[in-house]
Amino acid sequence: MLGGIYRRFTVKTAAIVDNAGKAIVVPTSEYDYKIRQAYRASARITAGMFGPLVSNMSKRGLFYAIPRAELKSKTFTKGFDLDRFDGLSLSSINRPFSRLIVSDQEKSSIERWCNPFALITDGTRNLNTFLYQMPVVKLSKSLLNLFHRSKLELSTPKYELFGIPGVTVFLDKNDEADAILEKLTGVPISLDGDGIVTSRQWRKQIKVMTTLNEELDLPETFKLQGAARSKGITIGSFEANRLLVKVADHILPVDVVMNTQGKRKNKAANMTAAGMRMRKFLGEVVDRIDTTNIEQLIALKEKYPVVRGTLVLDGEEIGEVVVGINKFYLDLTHNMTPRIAKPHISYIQAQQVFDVLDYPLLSRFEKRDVHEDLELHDKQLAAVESLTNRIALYRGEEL
Amino acid sequence: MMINSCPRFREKAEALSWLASAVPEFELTYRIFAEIVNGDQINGIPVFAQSIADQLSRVTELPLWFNNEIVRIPVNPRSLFWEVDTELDDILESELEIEIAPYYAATSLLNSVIDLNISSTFVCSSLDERSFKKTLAIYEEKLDQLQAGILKMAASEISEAYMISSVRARHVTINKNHRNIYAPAQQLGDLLVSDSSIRHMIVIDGDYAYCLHADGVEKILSKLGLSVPNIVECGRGRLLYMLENIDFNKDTLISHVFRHPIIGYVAIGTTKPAEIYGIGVPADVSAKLDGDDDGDIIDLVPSIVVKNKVMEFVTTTLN
Repeated sequence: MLGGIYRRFTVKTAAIVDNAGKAIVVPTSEYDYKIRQAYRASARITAGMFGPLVSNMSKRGLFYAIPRAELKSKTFTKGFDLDRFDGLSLSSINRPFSRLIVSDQEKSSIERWCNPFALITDGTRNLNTFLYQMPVVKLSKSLLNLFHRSKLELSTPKYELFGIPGVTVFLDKNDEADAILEKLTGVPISLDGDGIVTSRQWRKQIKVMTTLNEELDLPETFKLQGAARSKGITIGSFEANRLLVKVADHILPVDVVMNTQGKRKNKAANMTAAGMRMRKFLGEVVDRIDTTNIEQLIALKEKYPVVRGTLVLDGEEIGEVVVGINKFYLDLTHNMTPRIAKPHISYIQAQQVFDVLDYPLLSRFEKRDVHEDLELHDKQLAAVESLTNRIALYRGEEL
Repeated sequence: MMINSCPRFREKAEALSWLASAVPEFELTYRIFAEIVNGDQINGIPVFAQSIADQLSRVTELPLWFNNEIVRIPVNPRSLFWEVDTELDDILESELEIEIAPYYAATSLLNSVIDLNISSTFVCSSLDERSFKKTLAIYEEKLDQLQAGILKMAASEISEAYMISSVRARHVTINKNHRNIYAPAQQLGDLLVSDSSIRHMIVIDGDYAYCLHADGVEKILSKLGLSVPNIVECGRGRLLYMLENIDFNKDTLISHVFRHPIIGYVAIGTTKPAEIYGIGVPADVSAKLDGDDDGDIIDLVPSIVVKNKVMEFVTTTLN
């Protein structure tokens, strides 16, 4: 592979500053910051499939990145009212308001195009950084067909935002579900940790495109997310023909197994939406969704209860499950491959833990002789000290 | 008082080039500094190619110029740069089979020294008393930061002196009814017979606990409720033989799991190799480790083998 998975896009930046007790958003340039490099890191984003969309929205003044860098001046008097922006949907979960998108609703348009039920989804459950991390993917014809036949119709734009579709079985977190997974994968994995299990055939139908149009297979382990931050890593895989689901008169191979998304407010985003897609895929007419109409969204939840099907494992019917066509976004920015490494004992405070427990495990490990290094640091400190003293003299002479 | 011992520069690289000509003894070092500040940056950190890293590998002293005087900071070249190894690069290399040319970043020590040399030219070229005072105060602050950085390095030398290897993988939750930690078979097998494991592993066979050195063995075993009357120090060959011949159907391997990077809890449990993508920890113990399956990294260090005895337990240091 010669190309990269992610590309760089330029976005506009802004700062959130206080103006007479009111927070305002002021568009900025690199000259407004004390350290320009920190500005550049925020203005040049690394993104995949949705990079052009974000960049284009930014050009039109609808999207701003907020650099972490310190401003030279904080005395701005003109700017946009912060209330005009959604600062949560697309920001990092660890740094709210790191990205602002113009929105007249509580959640931004992109968030609602991705998750039509966004306005009745838990306020903290958003697409977040997956908008950047989703690589450019090429789907097999059958997956593409699945997406187009099941995609939900919206009032604006006409259809929901693209995501990778998968016939998904939602299982409650319990021993019964874990027993199914153990039989399916050969390892006693559990849905308790919100991991996701996929079929190998589904994975093979998704190719990641590089910037030079090369097609790459997905790795064994990767992170994926449905709507409402229902994210997890792939904790196991299975042969598609072993796990099927009977819905109405159809028998479908299962692509993805995930848990039933515990919080009630997230169920609509995943299970109602997935159920509506399944209904549409099976030929039922489903309503067009006005993503800004909360009353309609609540009514849709009632109108389209979750779809249930019969799960078939190795030819044997094993019970009724919730099923749907869920939509996923990928994150390939992390290396998920197990490897041999050096654990950072100082980070994990293991020394203190073992000291408290009087458990001398660390005495078993060989320790590098650090005397020479420490002596070197002493010499370095002495050199710096001598310069500090000399500088003090300059200050003294000046006084 | 003003010094006026150097010209005023607009660019950092200009200042460093002038220093290269003004201090012939450190000409090469200042030229390297100039190349670094003129080079690429990733997230605000200067990065450079192998050729500069090779030149830095031969540097044993760094200069700090101030008003035509030089203070020499002795350094270990290892502490000047590090190979940037992003997770994305890893995935491109290992899973997608492409090669990425290595690139390097300056450590905070090197960055700090470069910055101080540039700052000193600002102080020494001040045009008026006010800017002299201001630049001198900034320079002193930066010197303090360098000093703090060196102290921090000394502290981390001490705490990171342990020579430990682990299987590092993502956290995978397994059913709480299974009382084992599951580890990727290939990596666990490789680690078990590695030099670093042989140094600390304890192999219990009947009434005998074999190990390379006996430090802490008695206490560890008693804390785990393993009563072994005889602790025998033996050679690497014998330990290696025993580790190479673990039968996971008859023998028990006990490991320690560390959650990376903040939480201090440690899980201890019997360990099985498995065709698993991460390190599997029972759900009840996962909750105490604060790990779920959204990409958390954990480290597993194998520690004890009990021959011809099958045990199953997983616990945490919270218990």
